[in-house]
Amino acid sequence: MQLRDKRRVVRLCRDMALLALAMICSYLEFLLPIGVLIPLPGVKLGLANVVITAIFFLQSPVDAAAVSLLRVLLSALLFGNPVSLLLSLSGALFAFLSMLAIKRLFPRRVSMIGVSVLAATGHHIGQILAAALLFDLGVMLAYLPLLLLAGVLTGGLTGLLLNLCYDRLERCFVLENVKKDN
Amino acid sequence: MKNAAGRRHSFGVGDGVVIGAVLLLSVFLLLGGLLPGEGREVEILAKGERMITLSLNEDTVYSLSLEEYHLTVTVRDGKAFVSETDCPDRVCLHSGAISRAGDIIVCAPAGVVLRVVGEEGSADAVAG
Repeated sequence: MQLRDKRRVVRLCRDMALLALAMICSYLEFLLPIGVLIPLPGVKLGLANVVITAIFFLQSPVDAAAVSLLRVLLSALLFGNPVSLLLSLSGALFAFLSMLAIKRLFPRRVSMIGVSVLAATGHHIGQILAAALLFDLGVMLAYLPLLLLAGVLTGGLTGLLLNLCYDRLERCFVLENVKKDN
Repeated sequence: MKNAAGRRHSFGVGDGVVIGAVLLLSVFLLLGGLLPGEGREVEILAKGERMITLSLNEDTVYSLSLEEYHLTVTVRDGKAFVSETDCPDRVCLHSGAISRAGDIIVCAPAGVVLRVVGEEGSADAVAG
């Protein structure tokens, strides 16, 4: 097998393994009733986004987009309904765009905490915009500040988690790449 | 601490700026939302359509039957809340009671929004 093909296989396998990990994170959140602590619809800890963010910065944005899209579709099939699918899709798109913006604009100034907070708030803005299509923009705008505050909290927590394990994660990704080169 | 690629992975000034910006935006939006005063009526919207408007001044119980889910809205002591539902996530049940203009309860699975509307000329009339 050609080296290039080997790399592709490794990349595909790793992405799909991470997709499975992200799905488990989604399920874990489904079991974790954070809605009782913070009774706002749409608020989640975002554990799956830890995985997506790691792929985004350690592999590539393209891989992160693919895994994120598949995760949203699978989650909707397993736990959701058409409304939640639309909200998650729009949220995931906006979270992706905010991460892309930060990667382009300030790649070295902002740690994973800033990235996660921005992605979480981006996710919420995307959700609100999609919800505005279904419900009513005025209502949703009144709701946005609460979601943004929740986003600072949940994004900060997941970002802290990523900061703590960034080095280890990076070693995993880099090691694989080195092995492929041999 | 920085890694080989030069990416920071501890809390830094940039993170503070991001968090500050988000907090500023939410405070700004909150101030806009706090302008309307005490609400007088609660509107029930299903999939964007207005179903009914209930007065907050009299105690009532109103049941909605939608395609998939059922919701019971109770108005008591000038506050409205979802008292019963068979939707799966039950977030609307945990949302508590609403009474101020602009307050909302959302039941996403059923596509239902409860919202308190204030007097004419409030921010709500503009947003609506």
